[in-house]
Amino acid sequence: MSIALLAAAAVWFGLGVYALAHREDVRALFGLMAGALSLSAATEMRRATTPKS
Amino acid sequence: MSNADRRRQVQNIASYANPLLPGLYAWVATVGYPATAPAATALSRLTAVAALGALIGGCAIAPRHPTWGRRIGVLAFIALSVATWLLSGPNPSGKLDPLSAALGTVGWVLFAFGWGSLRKLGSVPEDDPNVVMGPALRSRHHRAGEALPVLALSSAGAVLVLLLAWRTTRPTHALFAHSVALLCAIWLVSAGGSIATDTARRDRRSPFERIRAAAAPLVGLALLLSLGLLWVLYRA
Repeated sequence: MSIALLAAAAVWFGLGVYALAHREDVRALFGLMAGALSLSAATEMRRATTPKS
Repeated sequence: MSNADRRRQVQNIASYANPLLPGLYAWVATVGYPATAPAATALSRLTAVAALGALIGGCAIAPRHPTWGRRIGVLAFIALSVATWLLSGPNPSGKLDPLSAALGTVGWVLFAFGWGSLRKLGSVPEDDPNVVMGPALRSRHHRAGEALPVLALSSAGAVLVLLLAWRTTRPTHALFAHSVALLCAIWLVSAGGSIATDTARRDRRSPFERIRAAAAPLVGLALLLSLGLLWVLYRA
């Protein structure tokens, strides 16, 4: 699932930058935020050790 | 002169030329060119010539005095180049066309690499008198089979994002797009690397615990996608 989220993050980032190039700032913001959240979820999921509470 | 002396002399010249040639190119492309423009101030021309002197002087003394060579050849050269840009007018980058600026950037990158040092061909690191002897260090984990595909996936995504940034035509947004793309690319490669290495470790957590650890970004992503769906439906 983390690998799928990593791929999704790459796609979201690509869409965000593509939208920024095509003067669609809201879509660009959406794509970049979705990419950031996907990538954050992917790395949190694969972290081998339990986070300290 | 013996063969060994000749070889040493050639090596000295090569080590002198490594940072000098790209430095000269970077100086001509990005410092000398604006400084020789008719609108350039006399002070900016002076600092440009001083930067060139620092580059040549630093490279010349670096083989015998490495510390001072780097101080003069790197720090003083960069400081004087920056001073030239600051003194040459309010918008020095505007004096360069994009191609010259891009080629100058390549020159600066090569200049930075030129100051690095590589292990000499045929030398054995363990022969160094300062080496700490002991048992060979073995890796604690074996690389997982899917590590390389994960790294390749993240690298391909990073390249794709960097390429898409070149489609930005608005000059005011182009720099921002490239900055964002670079940030995303670095993050993707970094995350891909950590995911690739973590796949080799034995995870003590259950799948439910792993999903719970990523609950906050997953909930945020779900909320964002829901908002996006609502926005699409509202506009339809």
